[in-house]
Amino acid sequence: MAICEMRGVVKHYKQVTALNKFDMEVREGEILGLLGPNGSGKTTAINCLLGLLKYDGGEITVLDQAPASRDPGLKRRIGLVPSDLAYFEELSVIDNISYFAGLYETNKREQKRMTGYAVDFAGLGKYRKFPAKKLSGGLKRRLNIACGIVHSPEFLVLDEPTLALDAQSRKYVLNGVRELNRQGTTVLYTTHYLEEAQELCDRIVIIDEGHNMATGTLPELIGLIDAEESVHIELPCGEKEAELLERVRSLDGVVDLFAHNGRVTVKLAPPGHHLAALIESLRLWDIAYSTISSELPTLNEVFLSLTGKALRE
Amino acid sequence: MGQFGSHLKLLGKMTLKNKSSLFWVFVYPLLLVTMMSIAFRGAGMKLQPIPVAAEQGFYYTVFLENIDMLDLTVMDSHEAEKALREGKVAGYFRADGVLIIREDSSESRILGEIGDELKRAAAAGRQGINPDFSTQYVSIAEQEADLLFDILSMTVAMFTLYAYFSGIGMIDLLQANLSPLAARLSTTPLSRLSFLTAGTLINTCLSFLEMILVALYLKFIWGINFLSDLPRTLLLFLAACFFGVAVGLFVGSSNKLSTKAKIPLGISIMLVLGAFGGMMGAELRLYLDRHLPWLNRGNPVNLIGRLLYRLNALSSTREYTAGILILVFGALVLSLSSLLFLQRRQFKSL
Repeated sequence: MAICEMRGVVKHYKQVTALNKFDMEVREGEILGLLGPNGSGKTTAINCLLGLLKYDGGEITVLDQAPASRDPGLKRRIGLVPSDLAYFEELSVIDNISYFAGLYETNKREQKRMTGYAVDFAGLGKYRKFPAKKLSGGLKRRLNIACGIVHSPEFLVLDEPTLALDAQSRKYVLNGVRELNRQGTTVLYTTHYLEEAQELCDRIVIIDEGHNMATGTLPELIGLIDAEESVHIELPCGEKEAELLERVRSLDGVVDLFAHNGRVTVKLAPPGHHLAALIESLRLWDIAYSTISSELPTLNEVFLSLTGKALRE
Repeated sequence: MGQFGSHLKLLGKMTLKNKSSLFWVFVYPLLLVTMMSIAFRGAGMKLQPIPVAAEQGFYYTVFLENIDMLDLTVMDSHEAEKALREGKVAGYFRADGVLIIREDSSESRILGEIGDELKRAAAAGRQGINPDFSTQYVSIAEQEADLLFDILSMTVAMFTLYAYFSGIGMIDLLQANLSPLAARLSTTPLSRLSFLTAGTLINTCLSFLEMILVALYLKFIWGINFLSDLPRTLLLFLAACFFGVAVGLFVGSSNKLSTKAKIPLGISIMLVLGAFGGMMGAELRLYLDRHLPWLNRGNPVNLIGRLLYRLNALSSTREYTAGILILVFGALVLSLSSLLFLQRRQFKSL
């Protein structure tokens, strides 16, 4: 079931087309990654979806309602973690989170429970009384997330939540998003970091110049392009290198083959995942190896193939 | 209480924890009135009884003699005109009720007010006659005059409207195209009416406290009493601060300017309105009163300043009720208009 749908959405900023017949569907219970470089239209898509931006064409439904709906009930079901830090700088961590809790719940006891949950979730227990403006960059990001998840939304939109974060804080955030998803929250996660999309998302939408270039799981996306799988075989002291080259050359799907310093690299035609078959062949040929590894095409190669440019250009 | 309590708590804490806002609210007005007091007091501007003449036969001579701030001399019309020309008196009341005053003197306002009071009393038939108490301004000569109270009335009036900035600040938190936090809050079930009501209450009270502080400072440090009619002055402060917040809400929500542009715009407008009202001296105000009288009629700084002046310098309540009603009604209209503008939730760009 779709939690949110965008169909043929068009958005212009004067002469610039930010969304060009953009389609996207977020399914219940999934983490959908919206992957694209800066300026590709990710935030515009989110702002249209949340009813903050007017759009010039197409249709959007969120939880079966129009995005501009003023129904407070709809807003209670949605959470937003914007890419900009958006909380009250002057207030303490606990005051910020409890204020956001108060927007969703009038019962004081329930507000307190929600606040405690968000503080624990974001790992801000030690910083409850800290003024928000004095937190480190990583802790500020966590507070930004805590304010967005305090009401345990059914549908959570995270817009580049790990922007400019160190590795440790990034890991903390990704684990938190996974945990929320396990608890039943559907997540729309925008990023321009390939690794995050690969690691976190069930499905990925690749957006470029406001257009949906491709949607699918990682293997589905990789399957869209004609990229070879590379298998590297390390032989102990270069033993049987000539025999190995001879035998592998006769296998189906081998596109290229070369050896260097006892390391044989085999290029295999798509679709990938030839590793298991190759290991079985080596066992039958009685050729020993010290290590064997497979290198599948990456999301970056997918992106490069679909858009003609690398993600970080 | 619901969200209202949360908003009150939030906005109260935000204001008290924001050092910059505390400076502008509480410290800056004291600094400015101190500077103005020093600058204008140095020019010999202590309030002295105003020398004034009344022509023999003027019906209200006894009444004028009982006004402490007037130094009244009864003389014939030739002597009175000569005294006026020579600057020995600031004005004279002719027997037919016409008040002749020097247009370039700061006492002109006081005498004008007194003339108007007499006219009002006469119109009410209290004295049984109805003379023509029209005021004629005559230009005679330059004169240094007692401006301090007059100038400070306009300055204090301008401070009451500083609540404008808090109104702008509230809109900055509510209108999605103005700040990331406002965009975020727009996606929550925040009640704008509740937020605006709480914010208006907090900020009006805060500005009201500021005005009391300024008035106490002027009274006890500088001996300038803006609290001589305490209840009416406090009510005027309250209405003016409410009006100031409402102007901020209206300007904040009604146009596409950024918050960064609205703040200097507000400062400039208030300074100009203050100057039109006489904050920089009486000359500009007198010029406008003669040539563009409509300009100061719609000038809120002038309205508040004149009411303050009348209440505390002249013990006059003329136009007081009407002034309070204008401020409160205006504030309500502006606040409700802002609420209507805030119904716009979607923007062409953020």
